[in-house]
Amino acid sequence: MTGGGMMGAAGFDPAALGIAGAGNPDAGARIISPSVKLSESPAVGVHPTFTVIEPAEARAVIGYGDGTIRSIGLVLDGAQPSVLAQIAATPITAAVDIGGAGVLIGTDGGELLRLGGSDADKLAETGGPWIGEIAVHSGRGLRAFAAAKALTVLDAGGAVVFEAADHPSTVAGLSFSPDGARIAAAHYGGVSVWKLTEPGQKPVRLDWHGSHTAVSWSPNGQFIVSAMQDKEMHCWRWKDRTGMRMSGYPSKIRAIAWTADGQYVAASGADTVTSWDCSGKGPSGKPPLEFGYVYDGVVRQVAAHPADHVVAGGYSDGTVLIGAIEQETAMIARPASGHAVTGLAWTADGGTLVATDESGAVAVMRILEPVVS
Amino acid sequence: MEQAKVPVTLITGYLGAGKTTLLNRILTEQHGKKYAVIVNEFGEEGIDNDLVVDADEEIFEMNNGCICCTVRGDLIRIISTLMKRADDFDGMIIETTGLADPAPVVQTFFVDEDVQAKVALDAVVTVVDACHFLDAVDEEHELAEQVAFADIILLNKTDLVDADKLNAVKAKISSLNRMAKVIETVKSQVPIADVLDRGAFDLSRVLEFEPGLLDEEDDHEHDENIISISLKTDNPIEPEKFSNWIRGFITDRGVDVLRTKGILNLSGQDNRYVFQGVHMVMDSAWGAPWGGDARSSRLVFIGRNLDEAELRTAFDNCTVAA
Repeated sequence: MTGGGMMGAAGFDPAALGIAGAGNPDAGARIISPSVKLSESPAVGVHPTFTVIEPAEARAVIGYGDGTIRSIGLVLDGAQPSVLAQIAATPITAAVDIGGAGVLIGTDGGELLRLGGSDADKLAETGGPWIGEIAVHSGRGLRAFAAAKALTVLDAGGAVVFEAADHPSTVAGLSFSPDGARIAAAHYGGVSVWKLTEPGQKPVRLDWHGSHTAVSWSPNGQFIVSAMQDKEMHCWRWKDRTGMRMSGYPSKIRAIAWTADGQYVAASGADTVTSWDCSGKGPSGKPPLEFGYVYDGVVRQVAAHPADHVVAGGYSDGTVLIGAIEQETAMIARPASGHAVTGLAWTADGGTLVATDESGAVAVMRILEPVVS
Repeated sequence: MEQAKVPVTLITGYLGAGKTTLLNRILTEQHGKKYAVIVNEFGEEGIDNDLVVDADEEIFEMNNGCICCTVRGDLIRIISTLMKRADDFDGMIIETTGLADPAPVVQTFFVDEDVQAKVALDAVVTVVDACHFLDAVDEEHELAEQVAFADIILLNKTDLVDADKLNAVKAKISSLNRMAKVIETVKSQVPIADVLDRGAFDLSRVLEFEPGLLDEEDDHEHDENIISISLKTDNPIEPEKFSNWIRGFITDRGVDVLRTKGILNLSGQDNRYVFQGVHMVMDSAWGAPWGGDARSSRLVFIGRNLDEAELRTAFDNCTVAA
């Protein structure tokens, strides 16, 4: 790991650091490096279950295991997260709703909730099975959710536009194709890809033995990557369905993230942030690029910068690093807290990063200079 | 920073043996304690608990080169989510279906890191119906496996059988599993302390197990059925010889070996060496010092297609004298 700002001092404006004091919008911030300021709320003793940024409200929304939903503004004024809503069940998963406004939440009460402002509306309920996976396609105005072996896609008005009830096992991951014409569902034995405009037809089955626990379609549409129970990933080239193994991880892969252009896919699961180069024919034969070794820590979460070849990594000791993939260098954005990072999310402009850890603490990090030029 | 792990009790047993009765008994007697109950099917008998989660029994094979290594995907999801709740559970109890194979459930606790980080399997409790066991055990192989995997066996409904039949049932159980503690009960009535907080998979407590040794005339040949084999030697064990043998044996035969436990007297070592395994998943540690105790090594295998004479010879070949 490389400490400190990777950009050096060139172009660095000391005034941007701000001076703590009354009326200063950054009054709650600590200077972590010349490139990062951090504001952090204390532990609440409850485990976060999801962490998303809702652009329309300029806030981060965090779900907790006790059913509390909290929000925090994306400024460094030292304000604490406030309780937005309290739901009866445990929120399991969430995604920002269509157009970046509102948050969709799946619960272990089998409900699909939409949190807009501070009101939670029920969009669907299963009558039993947990809603463990959610995906949203803003462009087409689609919301997808999975409960047990069933996948349901709703349009913006709430009407069911697609259903596939019988996957080989519980659906453990969902991802729309970038154009929103298809959806990929991860399960035991591989990934099923459904064409939404042709209900009733069989899915394209991308087979690979084992339990697939997450899936992500590359933003350029060329690759589908799954994470597996077996501490590895699998990557399929969509045009010819060629499969590739990405293995060698010492622990379970909880998070995968594509760079905005789809060139790199980063993953948690190792003691560094690993990023596979998917340019050309794919990652085959190319070892992953790595950054950010933390002593005695394992990467738990990754989140890709919205524009650059930059990834944030959250570690089992609470450390958050921001790294440049190609340079294989990183800077510290949040020091270790002793509690594993549970969620990471970037704002759309790449200027702010939010992290949560198992203690329930929320860290808001302002990136003062571009990580790569 | 290490938090105490939440103990998980696994209750197995054939349909109608008395699993739910036992479960409700635990929940009633432990009133005031907070349990999460995970069941595979809601039976006719209600479960008296605030939190009852329905599982799907999804058995997933792992790609780790071990064909017998399976986990329960549904339990990984359920336990991971339950442990994020603010509730401080005193324990979790899993009740399987009558025909469930206990191996994937047990292995989940040793293979999945999320589960392992937060909870620990305390014991496998198998409820056996004394009336129907002998008729059913040869028909339903799951029944034999449930007994073979058990740490505690509740031999239930003993009031409904005569002494001869009870002895026959006990003999059959003992041939299947020599490690388990057998408790005779009526209506699953058992002191709760006998089924909870057993630490049956805790290596520091392997020492407490006292396997019954085979009688000379009770001599099994190569057997398709599940049997349990207990070996003992007073000669010190040569660590390298033993390690080579047990690794090879478990790699070749792990599919057939359901459970293994051992306490070894390694040559030149002051402490006991203890280990246990479920199929190919093995775990070992140094145990208490021998001190002035008589030194001996004991090993128990429960599985099928086991040849006792072959195992005995192989074990004896691991001693320093051999």
